[in-house]
Amino acid sequence: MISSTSNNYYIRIFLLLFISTVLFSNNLTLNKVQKTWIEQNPEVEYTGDPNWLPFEAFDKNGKYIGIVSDHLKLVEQRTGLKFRHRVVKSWTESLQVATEGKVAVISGDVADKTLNQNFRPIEPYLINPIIIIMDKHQNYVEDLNALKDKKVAIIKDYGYTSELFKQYPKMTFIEVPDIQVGLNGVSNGLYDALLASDALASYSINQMELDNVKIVGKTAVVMEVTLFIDKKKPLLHSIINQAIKSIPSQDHEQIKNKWTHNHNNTHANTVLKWTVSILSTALILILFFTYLAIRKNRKHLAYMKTLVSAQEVGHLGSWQWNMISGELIWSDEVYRIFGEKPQAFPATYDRFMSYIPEEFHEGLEAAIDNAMRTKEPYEFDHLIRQKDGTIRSVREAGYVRFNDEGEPISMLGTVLDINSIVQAKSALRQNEELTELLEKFDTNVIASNTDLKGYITYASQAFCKVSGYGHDELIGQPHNIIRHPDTPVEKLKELWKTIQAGRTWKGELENRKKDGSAYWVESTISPIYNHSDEIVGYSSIRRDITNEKKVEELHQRLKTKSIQLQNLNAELEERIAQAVSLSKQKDHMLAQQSKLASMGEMIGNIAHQWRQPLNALSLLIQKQQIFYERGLLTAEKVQESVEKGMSLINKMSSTIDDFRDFFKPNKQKIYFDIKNAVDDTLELINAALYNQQIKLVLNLQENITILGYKNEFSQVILNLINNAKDVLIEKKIEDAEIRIDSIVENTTIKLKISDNGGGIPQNVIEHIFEPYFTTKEEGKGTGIGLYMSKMIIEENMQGKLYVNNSDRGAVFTISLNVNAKISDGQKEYENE
Amino acid sequence: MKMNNSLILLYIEDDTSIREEMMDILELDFEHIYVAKNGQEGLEMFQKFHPDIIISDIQMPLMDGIRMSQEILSIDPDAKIILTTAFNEQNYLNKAKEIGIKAYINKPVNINELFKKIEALTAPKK
Repeated sequence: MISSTSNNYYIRIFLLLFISTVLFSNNLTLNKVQKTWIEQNPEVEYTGDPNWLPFEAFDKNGKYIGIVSDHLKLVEQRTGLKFRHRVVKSWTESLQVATEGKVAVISGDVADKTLNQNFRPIEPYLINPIIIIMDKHQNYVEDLNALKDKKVAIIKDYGYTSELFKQYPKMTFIEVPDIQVGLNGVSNGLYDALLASDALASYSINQMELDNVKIVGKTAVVMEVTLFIDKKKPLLHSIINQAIKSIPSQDHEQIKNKWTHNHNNTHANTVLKWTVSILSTALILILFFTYLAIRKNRKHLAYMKTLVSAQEVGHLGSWQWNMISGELIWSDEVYRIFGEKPQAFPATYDRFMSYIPEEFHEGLEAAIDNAMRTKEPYEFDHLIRQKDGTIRSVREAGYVRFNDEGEPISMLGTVLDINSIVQAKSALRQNEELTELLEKFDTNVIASNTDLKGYITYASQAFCKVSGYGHDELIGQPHNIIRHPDTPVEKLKELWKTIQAGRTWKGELENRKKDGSAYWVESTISPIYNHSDEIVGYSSIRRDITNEKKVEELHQRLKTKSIQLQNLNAELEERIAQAVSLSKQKDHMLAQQSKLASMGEMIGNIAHQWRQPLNALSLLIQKQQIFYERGLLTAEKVQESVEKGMSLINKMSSTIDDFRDFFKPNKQKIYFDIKNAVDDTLELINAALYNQQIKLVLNLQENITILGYKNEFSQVILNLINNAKDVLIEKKIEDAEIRIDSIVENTTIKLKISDNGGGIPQNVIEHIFEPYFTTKEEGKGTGIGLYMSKMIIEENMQGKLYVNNSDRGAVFTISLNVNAKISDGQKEYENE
Repeated sequence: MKMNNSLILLYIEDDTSIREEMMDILELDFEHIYVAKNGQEGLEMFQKFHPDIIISDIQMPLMDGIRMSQEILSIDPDAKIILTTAFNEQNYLNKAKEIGIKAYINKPVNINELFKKIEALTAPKK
């Protein structure tokens, strides 16, 4: 195996030298037809994706740039063709332009279905693996299928997407519009992973300055960048295909590196790379001859073999860099660590750096700088990315040799594959995390273990804390030390039965603290098995639910209370219904009493009205006798007396009619004139006021109509005037006066009935509308009048009746809505 | 019944019907009757005609019978006044007594009773 490696080694070096010569020769040979075609058609209409860096784009100045652009420039140099770039705003527009046949060449993914219809791709010149980008803490992902349950984003409508679907049928992908959205999504945790082409991803991560994402692996799908040539131009196809193929791989690589790694400093890099490249070729030649020399000395060779094999076993590669000559030698193992076949190509510094992800460049260079300055060995751990995307951890160590003048002359170093070490570390860290988790468990979870008999073998800190026992007070004690005496025996029996049968018991238990107070836990108790599947104890984890219990209890109490409240409410409602019914009866009674009282007052009023005509009648009758006795009674005298008597009797009779009408209940609301109603009422009481020498002042607006029960309204007026009259008489007010004024405001009429009786005392005024409230002497008032008046105005006529004192006396105000319009029919009814 | 028809009589009543009926009766026996429609008029006539007897209603406009009587008595404390009162005028009656009116007659007026009162008041003192 060792010898075969050695043999391969020579072959490879020869091959490499040969290929280099071929590649460096740059011999594009076009035939005559092709050359003629170029002469006749030097200008080629071209377009690409305006926003697809590092592949291609138009920069701020409208200049076409990118990997594709650089390739086209080389094609131009080699063929004499001139690409005229058609500036577009979007890839959609590019496709449209291509479909319409406006361009002869367009760049794209070889798998692009649209382009394949009218265009034929040349052999792809850039193969880009579709890689997986994830959070930087993510370990290497071997197979995309491992991310089956993760949120994996892909960029929409790219040529290679159909291939992804085909190769990973079990995966579901989230489509995102562009690389920026995808990367940001991974960076802020929206997606677990993003799939994108290697070049695009590396370029964009760098551009977007994202430091929390990294490339963790690659898919089996590759994106192949190609140029599509109009199917109708087969000659152009052959020219460009040949031209692209004639570009040496170093140039491809160089262009690619320029755009994906260090696109800022391209010129310096190119120079350096060429220098290194030439030097490495020289180095390989030297190495080759050295080996030939070594071969002569078998001993040396054996030593070399041992070293090589040791390196292979230990995954330790060594290298040597002559800083004067630029010569760099890698041992086979370095190649292996970098995922390459040993000595497959000459080692260069740039080549070395190309395996190292960008983020480590600065650190590594700083370490080397430091080593040169301090003359101390350096050590630097970093990741490398193999060509297939595999990520490995390595430890770089080296030291600088100096000449007598103190100038650095060479560097020696090793590359140690520490992937397994890192994995071990990761395991250690996981172990640490586990320990930490255990600690968290111990401090936060109420947990305990017991032996078969229920003696405590483990008590978590949380358990000690909640129970109030010290750790030592619990260990070795029976678990029922915390059992609450209220716990039902059946429950405990069931518990033991369950766990002894090897099953898990779950339930709520009341426990008792050391201080005797209770706490509730939600408990999960399960058996502990040994390796022979025998139960050796029981383990319990519990959650303190004391507060929840309290809440539940409160809730229960609240429920009970609310039921009580409901009952109470129902009872209350019933009582209210009874009260309302009683109140209705009472109101009815009151109405009756009020009517009786009014009638009593009416009789008083009738008496006043009748007093004078009765007196006149009495005199008339006596006169007959006197005239007869004196012989003076003539037929004429009798006739005259009868007429006078009849007139008086008619007057009295009409008084009766007035009162009877007044007490006739109205069954229907009618429109009536307020002034008329008041005047009619005053007819009934005028005599009484006159007799009591109470002056009545009327100031009523005419033609104000309201809707309501006219007689009830009249009763209220009568009642208010009567009250005023009674007060004026009782207080023996001189120049007693009752005023009735009306004020009309918009649609409201206010009728103010006021007296000069000095007003109502404050302690009386607030009760004045209450039923059975009276200030009058016994037998003079029922205390119903004002209550009924208020009911009539406010309940039956939707108005307001209220009282206040003026400086003269009490003012009762009736406020009612005015109804302007009176239809004839209603008027007729009113007159009935 | 035969009355001294030389007496001067002042009758004060605001109600027309009553006044007319009363006048029909009084005119049979008295030659000198003065009639007033309210207390004010009554007082003026008293001052003008110095009647021997005054018959007056109580409740009247402008000046009621009580006040008028008060005025008259202040002019002539010996003035002879008969007030006609109704059942509901007890308050006035008390007041009438207070100011020194001795005679009153209930309404409806009984003519015989009225004449007896007039006779009693105007009988010459012995």
